[in-house]
Amino acid sequence: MNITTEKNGNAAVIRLEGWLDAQSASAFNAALDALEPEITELELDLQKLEYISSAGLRVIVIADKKMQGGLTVTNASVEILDVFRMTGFDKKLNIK
Amino acid sequence: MKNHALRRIGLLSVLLIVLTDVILALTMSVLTFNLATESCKAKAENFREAMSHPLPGLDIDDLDNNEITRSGFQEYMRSLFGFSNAKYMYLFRASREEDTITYILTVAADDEENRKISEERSMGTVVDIGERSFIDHALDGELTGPEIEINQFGEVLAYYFPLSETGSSQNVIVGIDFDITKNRQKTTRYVVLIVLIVNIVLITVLGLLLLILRKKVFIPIKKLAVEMNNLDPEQKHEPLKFHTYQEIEEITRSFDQMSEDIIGYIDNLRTMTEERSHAAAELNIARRIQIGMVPQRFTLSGDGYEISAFAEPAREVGGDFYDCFELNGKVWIVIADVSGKGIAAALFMAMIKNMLREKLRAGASLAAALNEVNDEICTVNPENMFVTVFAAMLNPSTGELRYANAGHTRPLMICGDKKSYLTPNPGIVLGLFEDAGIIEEHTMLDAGCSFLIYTDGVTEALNPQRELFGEQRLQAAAAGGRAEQTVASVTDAVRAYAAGCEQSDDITLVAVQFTPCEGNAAGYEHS
Repeated sequence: MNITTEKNGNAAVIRLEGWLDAQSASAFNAALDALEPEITELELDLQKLEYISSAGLRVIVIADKKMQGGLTVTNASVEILDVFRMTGFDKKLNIK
Repeated sequence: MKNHALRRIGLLSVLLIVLTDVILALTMSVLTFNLATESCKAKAENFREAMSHPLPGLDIDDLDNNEITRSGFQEYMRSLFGFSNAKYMYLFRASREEDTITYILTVAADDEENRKISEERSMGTVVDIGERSFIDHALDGELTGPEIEINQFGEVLAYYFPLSETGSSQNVIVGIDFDITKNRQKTTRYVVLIVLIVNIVLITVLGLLLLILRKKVFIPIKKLAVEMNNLDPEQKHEPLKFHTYQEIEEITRSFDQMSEDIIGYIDNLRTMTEERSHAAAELNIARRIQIGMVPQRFTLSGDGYEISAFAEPAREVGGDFYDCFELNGKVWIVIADVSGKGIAAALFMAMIKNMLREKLRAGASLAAALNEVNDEICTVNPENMFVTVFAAMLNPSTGELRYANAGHTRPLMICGDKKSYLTPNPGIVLGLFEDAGIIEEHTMLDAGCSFLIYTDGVTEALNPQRELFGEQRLQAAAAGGRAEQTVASVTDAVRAYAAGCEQSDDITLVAVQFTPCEGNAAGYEHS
C-alpha cells in the first residue's frame, strides 16, 4: 500500500494506492493522525486503490467523523464503488 | 595448523636473531679483512721504500751473475722482515710475453723455512703463473696486491712491485707474502665473542618481551575467551579484573557490558515469552469459547428445511458469526461480519450475536431487530467498529423467505443448476450511523431450492497471485442439492483456489435448503 498526503492550506488530499486491508489500514490511520488540526477538508483520492476490506472502510469512517462532513471520496473504481454501495457507505459518504 | 600469535612471534624472534648473527658475522669479517689488507699494503709500501735504497755495494745489475751480490741481497731482505708478519720475500724476472716467471732468489722470515725455500726457489727456477694481472701491473711500476692465497698452511696476502724502474733490472719484481692466518683467527674469535654477546642481549630482551606479552596480553585474552564461552545468561555476570594494558582492559570492559546486556535481553525475552504463552493460553480459551458460540461445522434440519454452516476464523478468533434457530415453526438464519479481525472483532461479535438473538426471540421483526441493535451499539462504539448482517426467516411450510440486509454480501440463490444473486436492499452497516433505516423484504423459495449466505472472506480469498476468489467463481462452484453439499462444494473450491496461501479473512457460510416434501421428524443435529 502506498499512501501520499498533499496539503494546501486547510485542505488536504490523501492518495491511496494498492490494497487497503487490515494491515495497511493502520498506516492509513497514521496518515490521518498526522494531519494538522486546522485541516477541515479532506479528499480521498482512490484512483489507484485496487481493493478495500472492512478494516479499510472503518478508517474511512474515522476520517469522515474527524472531518465532520468535510470528507470527499473521489475517483473510486467500479469495484470499490460496489463495496460502498453494498455496505451502504454510499448513502453516508460524499462520493464524487 | 592453528596460527598461534605467541608461537608466531617466537618464531620471528628466532629468525631475527639468526639474521642478526649472519649480518654481524659477515660485516665484521669484511671489515677486519679490509683493515688487514690496508695494514699489509702500508707495510708493503715500507718494503718498497727500503728496497729502492739497498746497501752500498749491492748492485742490482749484478744479481744474475754475482753469487755474493745475491747473498747480500738475501741478508738485506731478511733484515727487513723485522717484527712484521711478512712470511716470504722473493725476487723474480717476468716479461709481458711469457706466462712464466724466473726466480732470482727467495727468503723466508723463519730460519728453517729460509734454508728450505732458498733451495726450492733458487736462481733460475721457472714457475708457471696463472693470474698475471698483478705481475703486469707491477711491470708497469705499480705496487699491486693483495693476491689472496688460501692453502692448508693458512691465508696469505701477496703484494708485488718492481725492484727498480730503470736499467737492466726493469723486469725484476719483488714479491712479499704476508701471513694473515693469525689475524684471521683473532678476528674470528672477536666475531664469535661479539655475536655471542649480541645473542645473549637479544635473547634476553625478546624473551622478556614474550613473557610480558604472554602475561599481559595473551593470558588475559585466553581467559576472556573462556569467560565468553562460559557465559551463563541465567547467572549474574561478575566483572573481570585484569590489570593489563588499556586496550585489553577496554575489551574486558566491553565484554562485561555486553554480558550484562545479554543477561538483560535474555531476561526480557523470558518475560516476553512467558507473557506470550500466557496470552496464547488466554487466546486459546477465547477460541474455545467462540467455537462454543459459533461451531466450525453445524447442521440444523427440520420439517421442510435443512441448514449447514461452516466458520473458519483467519486467526485464533474472528469477527464473523452465524446463528440459526427454530422457534414457533419458523427458522431464523443470521450471518454477520464484524469489521477487522482478531480479539476486538470477536468481542464485538459476541455482543452483537447475543443482542440480535434476544430481540429476535422476543418477537421483533428482522428489520426492527437490526435497527435496534444499530441504535444500541452506536452509543457504545468509540472504536468505530461496525458489522454487516444478513438476517432471514424461513417459513418451512410455505417456502416464504423474509430477510433484512445491513450492508452484507448478496445471497446466492441455487435451484439445481440455476444460480443467481438475490439483490436485497443494501441497507447500511450497523454501528456507525444512528439512522440505519434497515427494511424487510421477502421472496418465495421453490421446493428443493436453496440459498447460500456467506461473508466476504469467501469472495475475497486470495490465490498465490493475490487475485480474489470473487462472486463468479463462487457462483460456479456452489453445488445445488443438500445444504451440506453446497457448503462443502464452496469450501473445497476456496481451499483449492487459495492453494495453501494464508487465509486473509474469516470465512463463514451458511446454506439453507427448502425441502417441503422431505421427512416429518423435526430435530436438531449437531456435529
